[in-house]
Amino acid sequence: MKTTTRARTLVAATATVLALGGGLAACGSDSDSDSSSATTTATAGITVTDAWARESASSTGNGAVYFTITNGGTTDDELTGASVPSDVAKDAQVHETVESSGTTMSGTSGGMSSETTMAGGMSGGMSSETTMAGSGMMTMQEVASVPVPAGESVSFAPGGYHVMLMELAKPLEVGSSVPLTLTFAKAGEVQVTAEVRAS
Amino acid sequence: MKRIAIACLALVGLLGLAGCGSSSSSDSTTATTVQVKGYHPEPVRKVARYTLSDYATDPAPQTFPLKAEPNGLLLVYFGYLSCPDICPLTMGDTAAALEELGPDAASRVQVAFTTVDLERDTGPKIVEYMEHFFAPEQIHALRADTDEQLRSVVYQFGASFSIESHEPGSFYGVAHSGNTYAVDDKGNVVWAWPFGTTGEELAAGIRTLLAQTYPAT
Repeated sequence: MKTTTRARTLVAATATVLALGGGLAACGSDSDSDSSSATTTATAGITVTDAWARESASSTGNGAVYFTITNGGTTDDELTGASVPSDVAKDAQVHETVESSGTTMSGTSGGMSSETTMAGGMSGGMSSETTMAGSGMMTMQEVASVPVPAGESVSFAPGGYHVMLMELAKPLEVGSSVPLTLTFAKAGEVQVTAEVRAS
Repeated sequence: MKRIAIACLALVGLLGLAGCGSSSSSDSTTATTVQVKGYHPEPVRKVARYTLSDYATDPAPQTFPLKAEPNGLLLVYFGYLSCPDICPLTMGDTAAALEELGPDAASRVQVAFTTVDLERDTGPKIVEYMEHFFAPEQIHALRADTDEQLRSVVYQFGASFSIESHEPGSFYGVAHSGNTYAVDDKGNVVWAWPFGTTGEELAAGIRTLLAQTYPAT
């Protein structure tokens, strides 16, 4: 399961890299230089793009915000916190969705083992040979910090990292937006506007 | 080193695209081999004798035995409403799967959300939540009346959940199986998809399960 989550995140990160094209590659190319260039203002290096929050499915509850952080600078940084105004939610925390290995069941060796291949179309039928079952227990963990290395992007995407909005003051509706403050160890506070989308 | 990392990323990107097919999937008919995600739980788990209260009924909740309509499939998910990330993600993917199946096949599939969070989730809230993703006739909004009833159903599916210990009224986390289970009209659990199955993969699985489980239809 973790594999899947990672894969999704990687795909998203790749898409971003592709979208940003040569610009990012150019930034990365000089990342071999040592990190002693402390005079570089890291603030200029951190950009947060494609921020969105999922529309609420019910009138009460929590929310999640996703985005891509790109560190175009030459200094490694890390996301250390997030906050929203109290008229949005009671609290905001940086979370990661993970598969916990709480229950022990036979044959768990990671998410990929839950896949079987079958002959195509209707004729093949579903293979019933695979009897593995990971516990598949999904949970969210608050994370203290998320590294954003110089020249790289980190994707906050469904099934992986997200900023959880706890106890929403009101449901998130498409067409509105959420003001979010992300705090970085070096870049300091970065203001983000997350558009509310259906998915 | 840097170049290798970038090359790997690009490769993962390609594989990812090939695997997920993104949204523009017109190539599903030409594929000779379909990657089917998930597994068939063995020994066969029989759940028809187990019931939950279905709140997606008017005017009062009704006792719902865990099985599909004749010649249909019941998709069962165990989650909780204040789950911000994976529950709405899975419900969204499931809705996309039904969309992709088309009206004929989709009419044979119903989706049951079963809350594992009895403290916070009421029946009407589950209905509201499910109607965000699905048409009213596609859903079952399931809630156990007691903790014991919930645990026996969850156990029978081979699923699991745990509620973080907490002071009454304070915030708490919930861990739960990410699986989506398919139940046939006899109440046998015929398939389980892990969390992260895309709508397209789910649709392919449902199509095959319908054909295999009900060859006469």
